[in-house]
Amino acid sequence: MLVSRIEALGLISGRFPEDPLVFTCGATCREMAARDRRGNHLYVVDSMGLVSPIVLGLSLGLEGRSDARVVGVEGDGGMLTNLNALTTIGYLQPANLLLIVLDNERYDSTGGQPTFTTRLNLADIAESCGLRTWQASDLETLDHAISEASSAPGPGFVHMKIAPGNTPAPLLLDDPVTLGDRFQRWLSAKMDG
Amino acid sequence: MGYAEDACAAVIEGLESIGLDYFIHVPDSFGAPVIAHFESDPSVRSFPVAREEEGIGIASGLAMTGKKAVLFYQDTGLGNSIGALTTYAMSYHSPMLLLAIRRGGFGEFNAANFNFSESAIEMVETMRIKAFVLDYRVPLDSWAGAISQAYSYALMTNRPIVMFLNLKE
Repeated sequence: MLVSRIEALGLISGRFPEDPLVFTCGATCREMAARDRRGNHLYVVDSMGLVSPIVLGLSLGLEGRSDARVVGVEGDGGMLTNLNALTTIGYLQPANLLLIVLDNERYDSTGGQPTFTTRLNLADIAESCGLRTWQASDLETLDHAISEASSAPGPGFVHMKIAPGNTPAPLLLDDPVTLGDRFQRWLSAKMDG
Repeated sequence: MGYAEDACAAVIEGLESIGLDYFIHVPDSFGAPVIAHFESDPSVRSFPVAREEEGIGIASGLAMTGKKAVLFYQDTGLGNSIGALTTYAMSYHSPMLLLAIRRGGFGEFNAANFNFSESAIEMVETMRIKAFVLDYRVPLDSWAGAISQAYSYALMTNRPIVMFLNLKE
C-alpha cells in the first residue's frame, strides 16, 4: 500500500535535521509546515518547478564550505514543469545535491489532474541526465534510499511513488520574505558554524 | 575596435569589477564575446542554463550562500523567466543582477525578436522590477561603473535588478 505524502515528508524531515531542505509549492509545503516545521526548511510557496534550480544554486554555493547535503523535495508535477533542470544538474554534477521526488501521478494541489508519470518514469529520465537514482516504495525503502544516496557522491535522485490525495493542513500564509529570512538565518548560522 | 566590440569590453570590465564567482548565461550572438571571456576565465565559474527561469533559481540559491552571480541572456528570454522573477526573486527578496541583451532596437535584424524586445522594458517595469538601460545614449566609458553600481544596488535593496544592454552597432 502506498504511503501518504505527509508520512514521507515526516521521514524526510527527520532524516535531515541539519541539512538545507527546500520544499515545492502547494500541498507539499502546507503538509510539511503543519507536520514538522523547522528552521532548515525553505518553503517555496509558488514558483512551480523552481525547487531544483534553487537547490542547485545552494549546492554550488556550499561546495567545499560545508558537508551539508542540499535536499530538494519535489512532486511529479513540479519536476515535469522544469525537466530541463535535470540536464543542468547532470551537466554540473554537484556532489552534495539530492532531489527526492514524491510521485503520486497527479497534480493533487489543483484537483488531481493526471501527470505524465502515469506513463513515464522520472527516475529513468534523471538517470539519463547523469544523476544517480534510487527507487522507494514505502517508508522502509525510502529510509534505505536516503541512507545510500546521502553517503554516495551526488547528484542523487530518489524517486518514490506515493498515494494520491492531500492531508488537510492550514494554508501557509507567511509572507515569503519571512519564509526566506528564517531559512537564510539558519543557513548563515550553519555556514558560520 | 567597433561599437559592438567596445560595448562587450565595457560589459566585461564592469562584471570583472564586481569580483564575480559565477557567470550564468543563455546563448546570444551579440553577447558571445562576453560569454567566451568568462568561459575562459579560470577565476569565474561560468556555465549555461537550458532555460532562463532556471538561472533565477540558481542565482537565488547562490545568493543565499553569499556567492556573487550574474545572469546574462537575451531580453526575449525575460518572457521565460518573468514568473520566477516575480513569484520567487521579488517575493523572497532575492538579490541578483540580470543583464538582458536587447534583441530589438537599432541594429536588430530579426523580424520576430523585436516584437517582444520592444515591449520588454515596459513589461519589466509593469512588474515593478527595477530596470536600467545601457545603449547608444549612454557613453561607453560609463557602462562598467553602471554595471557595478547596478549589482551593488540589487544587493543593498534585496531584489532583482534588470539592466538592458544594446550591444549592437
